[in-house]
Amino acid sequence: MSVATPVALSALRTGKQAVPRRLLLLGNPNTGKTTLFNRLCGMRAKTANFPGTTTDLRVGRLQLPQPEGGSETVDVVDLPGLYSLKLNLPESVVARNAVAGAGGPPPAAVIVVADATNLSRHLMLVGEMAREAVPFVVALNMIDLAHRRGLSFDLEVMSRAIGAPVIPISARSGKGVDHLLAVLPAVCNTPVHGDPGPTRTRPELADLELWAENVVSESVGGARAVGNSSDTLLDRLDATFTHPIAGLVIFHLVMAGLFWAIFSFASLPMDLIEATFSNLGGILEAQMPAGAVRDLLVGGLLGGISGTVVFLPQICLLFFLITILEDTGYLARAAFVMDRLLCRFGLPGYAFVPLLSSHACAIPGILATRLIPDRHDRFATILVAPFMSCSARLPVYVLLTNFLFADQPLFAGIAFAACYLLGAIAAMGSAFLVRRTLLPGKSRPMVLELPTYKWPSLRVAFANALEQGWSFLRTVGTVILAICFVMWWLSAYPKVEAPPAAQALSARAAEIATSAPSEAARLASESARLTLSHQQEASFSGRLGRVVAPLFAPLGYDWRLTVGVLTAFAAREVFVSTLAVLVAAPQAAGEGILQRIHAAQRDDGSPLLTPATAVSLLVFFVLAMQCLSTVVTVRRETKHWKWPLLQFFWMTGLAWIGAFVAYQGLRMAGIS
Amino acid sequence: MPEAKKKLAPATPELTRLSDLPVGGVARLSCRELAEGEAGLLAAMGLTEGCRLVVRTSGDPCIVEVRSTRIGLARSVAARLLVWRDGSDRPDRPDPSDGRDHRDESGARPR
Repeated sequence: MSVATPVALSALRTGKQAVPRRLLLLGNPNTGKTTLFNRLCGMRAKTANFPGTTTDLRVGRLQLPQPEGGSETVDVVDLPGLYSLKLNLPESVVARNAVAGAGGPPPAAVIVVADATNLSRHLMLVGEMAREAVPFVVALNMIDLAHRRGLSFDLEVMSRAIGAPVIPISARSGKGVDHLLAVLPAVCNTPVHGDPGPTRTRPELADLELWAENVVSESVGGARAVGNSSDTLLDRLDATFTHPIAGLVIFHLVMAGLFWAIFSFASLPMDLIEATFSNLGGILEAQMPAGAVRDLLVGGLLGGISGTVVFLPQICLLFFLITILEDTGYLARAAFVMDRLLCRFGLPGYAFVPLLSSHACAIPGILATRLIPDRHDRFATILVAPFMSCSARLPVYVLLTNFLFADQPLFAGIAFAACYLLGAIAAMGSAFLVRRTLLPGKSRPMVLELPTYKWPSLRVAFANALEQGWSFLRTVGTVILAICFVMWWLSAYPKVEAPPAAQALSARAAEIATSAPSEAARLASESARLTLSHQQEASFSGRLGRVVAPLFAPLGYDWRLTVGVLTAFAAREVFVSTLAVLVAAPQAAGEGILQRIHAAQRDDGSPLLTPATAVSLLVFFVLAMQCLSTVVTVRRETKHWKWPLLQFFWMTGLAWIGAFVAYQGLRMAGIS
Repeated sequence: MPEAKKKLAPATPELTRLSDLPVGGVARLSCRELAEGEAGLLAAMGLTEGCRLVVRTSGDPCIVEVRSTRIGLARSVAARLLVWRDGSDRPDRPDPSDGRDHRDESGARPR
């Protein structure tokens, strides 16, 4: 990612292409560091694994104007927000290694972002940085807010006391950023200066504190302009948002609004994506000769991509809205509300955003666990996040709750909500167990800086949504595609002749093609469905279904439902479409796919779905780990196969037991 | 909080637990009955020994304002922080800002 300064400089002089030098952005949480990053690098950030760490960092590229003309390409690394370089916390270790150049050459310079409205604390980190042998500059952020509060700064005195340039900026408005860019080349090429104020004769922290206080007293003036009325309002807001009852009510209202927005606003782009891929498939089918290549492209490649990309709008929207909420300052308060509930099960309050995100899709939820500072807390959250009912389960829930309560929307709704509740209970119970066995210890009690309430930045929210969307595509777009190919091949081969019934229908359709075209089209469609069903039954996956069927027979499934469940292990939403192919009952006029599945029969003539089977399937789909993309993501985030495998066998085992108990219990109660 | 208190040595008469301070209570941090990591994090966040803090919300969480920053603390953490009520003449160690009478909460002195 970077090279040593001398190498880069020599390469620049000789005109050879060099790996860009690296600038680090360092600062406390909530200093506007990421806003400055976006301001410097635009929306072109990528994530990169830093040498020697398991943490992904945002890296952007910047064309840094040079005083003699032209520009130098540099990489800007957005380090995680931290309070001290000395702490034994993941974010501190990452930043410490980055500053020291562990695993690579040292950075060209560090930009320490400090909050101008709260300098005495932020200067402690500046003081720590001053002890490192790396050139740095202090970006005094939120200068506009500090001025509004009546603070004034003697930058010359401050700069002299710190031993580095101090540039006042407002990352949000962009004010002062040009000045920062103008001084950076000189900072990068400055020989490292010595230790300024803090000495090593006193205890380190006290020394830093005293030094920071001295710097402030020498260089900052003005009375605080924020009056008591504002504080009273803040106090009331804080007390309300963190109240055991009012806070919980507000939290649920906010979350209801969030989900309503996600499901409402994402439906249009999701429909567009589905229609686009469907049209593309149609074009390919029309243009390409029939054969394995066409089947592979349409059924394997396009099917796999569309099944993944269709969730992109929900994921982007979720992160956009969560970033907005976070930016307002509300989420930090909500974390305390959830902390009271989650800590009883061994999860930290920090886990609520990942668990919330998992209701749209477990993958962004798992990515969001990067917010959790403690490793055990984080892994416990990752392990239970897929229990939350994601949007991929919705088609299955719709199919089965409609079957169970066809004309009773109230009961169907209750059954739907019960599925969500069952998932949440399983998650909490699993967390309780795992924190007493594999990941022992209590969750870290919440200690959180509460940022000031402010209007959110749409620019930052948009950048984060794009970044998370891209991360989602990258994660699932590699391994999952290969797996989709395999699943397609298993269900498409070996090829078999169309069954006699299908051949007869095709022949009849050809006969009446001119006299009754609509009936001919219906017969042709029915013939195609019968052929597909026959193909599915004779395919490797169909054969596998018959072999594995005894394992699922105690849950009430025949070979068709077993194949549906097996294919759903790649992705849950495949279940309904697999059943649609496997169910080969004659189609009545106006009959939809759900009705056809509801009315389908088994080989012995008994109904494919019974109330007991439907409940058993619901329980299985709520609890089972049936998403290869999630398995891959968990492997990527935990850096080990142990965790996704444990998760897979635990969730699937629990699903089997739960479905078995549900099915056999209902049968014993006389409900078959 | 009662659970936390059971496990801890009772506060001496001169000292108070942060969790026991009412809203608006002003105090100086004396010491932290916390593990080293937690104590280090609090110190880095500005909760250093001798620092002046104002309780903004009591209960769980306990929200305190330190150097213009609001910090939310789980009740179990607040119960392990011992404070001198402001006005007490027995701070655990001198506050670096002592003697600078005109300082506001951001640490700034009027110019």
